[in-house]
Amino acid sequence: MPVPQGVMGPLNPAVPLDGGLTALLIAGGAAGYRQYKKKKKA
Amino acid sequence: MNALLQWAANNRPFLFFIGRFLITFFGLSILYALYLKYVELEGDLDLVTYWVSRGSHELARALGVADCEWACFMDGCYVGRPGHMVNILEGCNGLKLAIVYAAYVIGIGGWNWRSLLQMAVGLVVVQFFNVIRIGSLIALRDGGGDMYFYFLKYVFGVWIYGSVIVLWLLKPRIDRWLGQK
Repeated sequence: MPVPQGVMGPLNPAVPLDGGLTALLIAGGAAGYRQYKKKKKA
Repeated sequence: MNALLQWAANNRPFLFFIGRFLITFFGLSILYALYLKYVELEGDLDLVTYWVSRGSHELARALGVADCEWACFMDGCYVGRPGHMVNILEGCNGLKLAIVYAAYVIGIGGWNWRSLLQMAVGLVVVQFFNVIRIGSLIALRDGGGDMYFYFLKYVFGVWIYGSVIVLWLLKPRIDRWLGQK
């Protein structure tokens, strides 16, 4: 079913989660490294 | 070069973690992309976006958005009062964040029942945070003013990404609850 004309556009802004995924992957790598360092010390 | 090889030899478990983390992330992302292609061919909307928008609609109503409407199409859903609607696209549904969380869990613990349980719980927790994010945004947009854009751009971005990072930081504790050493 097509979206009615006039519904899209700035009147109905989207709420996306773009841009941060790469940063989150890097943060995941850093969190993993931190956990292995802790395990190594223990 | 020798220093790098030495470092790699000393940190072999970490390199295995990175391998599992990335392979799981790309594997689950490919599966999700195939699912999206399938629903597109079927002329349908993906179930995650559907349920997130439905939950957000219910939350917005609970937060006092009177006459809150909810309509879904192939490309996403529209929720809110006419003239103050929010467009919930596939990219808003938070599943990619849940995939990054799941990849981390598999990267650390490997494929076992504890990791699968944490993946499932993580998916629910991330979506719970996402429904609060979108439901609150609908309520803020309904109220009018610039607060909506401020929260959309800054506050709720930190909120949803923060939910994944908090889950990661809690993982050693969750592992202890599940009896893993």
